[in-house]
Amino acid sequence: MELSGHTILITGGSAGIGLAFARKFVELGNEVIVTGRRRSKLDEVKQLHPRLHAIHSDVSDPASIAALAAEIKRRFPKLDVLMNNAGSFIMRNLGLPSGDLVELAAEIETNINGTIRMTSALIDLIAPNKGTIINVSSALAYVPLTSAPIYSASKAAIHSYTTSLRFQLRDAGVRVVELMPPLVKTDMSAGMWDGDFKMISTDVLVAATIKALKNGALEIRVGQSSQLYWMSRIAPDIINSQLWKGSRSLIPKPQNSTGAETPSVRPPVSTDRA
Amino acid sequence: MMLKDKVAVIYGAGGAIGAAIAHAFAREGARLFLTGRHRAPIDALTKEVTSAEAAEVDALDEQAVDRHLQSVIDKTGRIDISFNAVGIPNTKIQGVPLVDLDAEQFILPIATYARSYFLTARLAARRMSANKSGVIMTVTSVPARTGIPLVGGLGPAMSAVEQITRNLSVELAPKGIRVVGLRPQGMPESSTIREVFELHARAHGISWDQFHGMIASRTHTGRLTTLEEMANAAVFMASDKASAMTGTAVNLSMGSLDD
Repeated sequence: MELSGHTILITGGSAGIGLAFARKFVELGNEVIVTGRRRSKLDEVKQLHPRLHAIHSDVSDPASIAALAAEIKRRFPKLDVLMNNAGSFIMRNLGLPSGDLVELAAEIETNINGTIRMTSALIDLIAPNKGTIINVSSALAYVPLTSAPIYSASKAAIHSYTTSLRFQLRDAGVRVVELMPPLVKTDMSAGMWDGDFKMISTDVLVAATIKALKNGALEIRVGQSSQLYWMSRIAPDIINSQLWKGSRSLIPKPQNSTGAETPSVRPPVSTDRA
Repeated sequence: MMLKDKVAVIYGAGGAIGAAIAHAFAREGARLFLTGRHRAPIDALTKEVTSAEAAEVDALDEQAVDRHLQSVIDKTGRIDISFNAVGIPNTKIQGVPLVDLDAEQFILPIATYARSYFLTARLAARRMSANKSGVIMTVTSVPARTGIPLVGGLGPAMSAVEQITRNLSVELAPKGIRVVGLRPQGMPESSTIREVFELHARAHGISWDQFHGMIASRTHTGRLTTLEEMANAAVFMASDKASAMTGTAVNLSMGSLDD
């Protein structure tokens, strides 16, 4: 894939992996739009990276997606790359009742539904422009991190959906890429242990991804993602147990007298969900 | 809602400022009539905001502006706000020293900005007089008030716009019509300013980011005005709460320009 001269939209692009890719794509000579749910982060992006277009949008809200699509069609009709990167990651204890059944599905809304809806809302721009869709899933699509069961499930869902999307859009000339990062050092992973699984920096992820995209790869497994992939095929029980062992201490304990789970034992910095 | 049921006509609604104003005015309850020379972006904008109609109108064409205003009156019976966000491309206008600048390119912005503002404003004023109320608004910019290199005829064009504002105001305010300008610092959220910064950066032999940093460093806040901030000020200035302000340009320069 040739990497300059495009107009690229990155959801969840005001921090972490999304922002790292945004900056790299600008450097390579592309028009880049980032969206995010947190206005403070977007304002920061506008000040620090004035070349980026920053638009407020929440991928877990269908109305917000519709409004974004209308604005994009008006302002950036040449849009030809959509990177569905917005993601939410929460450690959960499935043995306790959730205090909030709606919040329980938060990662589904952002990670799965956000990706599906954004793709649908912009396909009538991407397809005529013979563009590219990049869905960010995760190594955990193959083997779940048991302490983040819904996040992991959402990534498995994205893997299946992206595979179908690739076949469906082949005749339309739209390239569909799946990016499967390992553990990456960002706000979202802050506070996670660095023991069994090495964290890579966003720079390393971006560099490896750019190289893979230039080589025309459609499923991009970076670093330890490859190992997780192979282990999931060769010895799934072993690798499943390994991740269970490595993450069970991170599962939230009961916090109050009702025994209900307080959903996040992750770091105080909230994830960028859109 | 600060602009509930106000009828607002926006010229240049296809541009970044026009669109930002449209969004803000619609949020505050205004009924919008969006115009511009290119239909596509304005049609698209009507899908994003409630209560907006689009029309292709060239602000330099007096008959076209007048016909359109009449159609608005026919539909709503009034015009409360006329917002001039007309702009022209800067490619040949900026980035060249005055000693080298093509004479036609020098005059072009002066003639275009003065004429489009004059025509749209006075035609709106005729309708607003009937109701003894209304607000005429325009965009101006920092080069109106201070010497900046390589802006070509844009500096005098903006000065003209600000003086037209004062003269319109002194004639129209007795009829209940206020006339005000909004003067932001350069807003790189707009493609116009992105291009302008590129022209200036190249002329200075520095990068776009370096030029942006240079301009931003002159503000008190260390950053430039955003479209949303300009739109928020526009809402206030269009509302009845700004009744004390007329014949003036609102300083949105983040402190980089003294009053």
